[in-house]
Amino acid sequence: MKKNYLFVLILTTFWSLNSLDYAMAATGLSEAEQMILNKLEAGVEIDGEMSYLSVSYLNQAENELIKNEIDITVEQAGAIIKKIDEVLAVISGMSLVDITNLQGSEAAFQLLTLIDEAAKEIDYEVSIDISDRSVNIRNPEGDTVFVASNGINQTGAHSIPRLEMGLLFLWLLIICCAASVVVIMITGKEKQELQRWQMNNKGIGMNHEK
Amino acid sequence: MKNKLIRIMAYVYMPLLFVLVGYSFIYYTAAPGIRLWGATLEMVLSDEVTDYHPELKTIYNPESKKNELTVQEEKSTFGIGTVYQQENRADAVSAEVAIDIIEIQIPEMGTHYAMLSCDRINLEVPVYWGDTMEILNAGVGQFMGSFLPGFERSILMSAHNTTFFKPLELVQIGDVIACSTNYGEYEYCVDQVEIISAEEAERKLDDMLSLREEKLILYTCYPFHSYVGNKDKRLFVYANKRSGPRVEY
Repeated sequence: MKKNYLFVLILTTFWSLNSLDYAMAATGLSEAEQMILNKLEAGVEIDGEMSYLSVSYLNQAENELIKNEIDITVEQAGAIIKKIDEVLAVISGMSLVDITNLQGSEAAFQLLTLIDEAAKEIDYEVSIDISDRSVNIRNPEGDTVFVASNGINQTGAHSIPRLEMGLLFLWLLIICCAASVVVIMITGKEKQELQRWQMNNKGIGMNHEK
Repeated sequence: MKNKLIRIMAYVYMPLLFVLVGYSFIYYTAAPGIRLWGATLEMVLSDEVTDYHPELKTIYNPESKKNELTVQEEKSTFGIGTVYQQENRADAVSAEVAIDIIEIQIPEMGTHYAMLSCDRINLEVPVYWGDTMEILNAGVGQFMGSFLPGFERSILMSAHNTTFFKPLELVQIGDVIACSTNYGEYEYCVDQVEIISAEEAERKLDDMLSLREEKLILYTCYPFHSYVGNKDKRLFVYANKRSGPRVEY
């Protein structure tokens, strides 16, 4: 529930970050970058209740901001925070029910379209992985810098996908059938030859008796 | 005339259609087998080591810090695990030493950046940034919502219980887990091992990731000796930082 609006929030941050020219690279997390993180951390009030950005999303934002290649000035941070506020205003105008049902809704599609258009302008790419419905953000170099998905993985035994398992079974059946047909044909021929030979021998025997 | 033409053309497009449909069917149904045979043939005929994960890259250089350190192995006074004592040279790293973030290359997703090891349980595995299924097939994956070693925050790593994290079934409190990176050697001492459901783990995730102290958290599916079906339990190993340089940012 929280994740839906929060990923919008983080997307906006990434969009805002890249829409501004990078200054010469400075190290780590500057005060300006910290201001952005503080803003993200603050949360938003929805239906009278405070909702906060998932820590995993916040940490991913921090991991991106601390990169040496990214350096944001106070003015730039101010602009970014303003944009975050705009997104927050939109989200806070929605009800908790709207946000809960955001996935697959028209509102979500509209938001995604807008974000995607914004991202394309600054060479960031927003994509949705259909297999697990996770939202990914790639930087201009094509590296994934943000993944909105479950934190805890399925780390059990490798399982063969059902389709491949089914096809494998089908192939085994086909091979078995083909092998059976070949065996039947061979044994059938042998039987026929045996019968013919027996018939011939009988015939010879009968002739002898005569 | 028109009908005749259509009838003649049928001799062209119908076989074409059948060939296309037939080949598509054969290709899609035989694809798993073709891939398997192709990979086997490649393995047999190739004179190079096959790269099964071309999308993954590495920035890990085992020689980068090893040259600066002399590692002496000593038995722990508790008799559990192994303690590595590092004899540092003047410029070598230690728990008190801080590294400026400018010296660190923060990895991109799918990058092998460290090695995780624990001698007592025979664990020695590569660590990748990110934890997609592809990464988990190649080694240990670090959740991108956690931090790199040295950042004094939580480090969340996972791997399959049948391969890279199978040795975790033998882990005990007191074991020392080493994490070797390009910018320093880190050691963590196991202080807690717990088995919880995946749902509970999801609920606890925010708490785990919001720690303001350095903690290595490893997890894998549980139980270990069940190879069929999805597992709904996870084994979590928590380890506190013992040594390693702090990253300043």
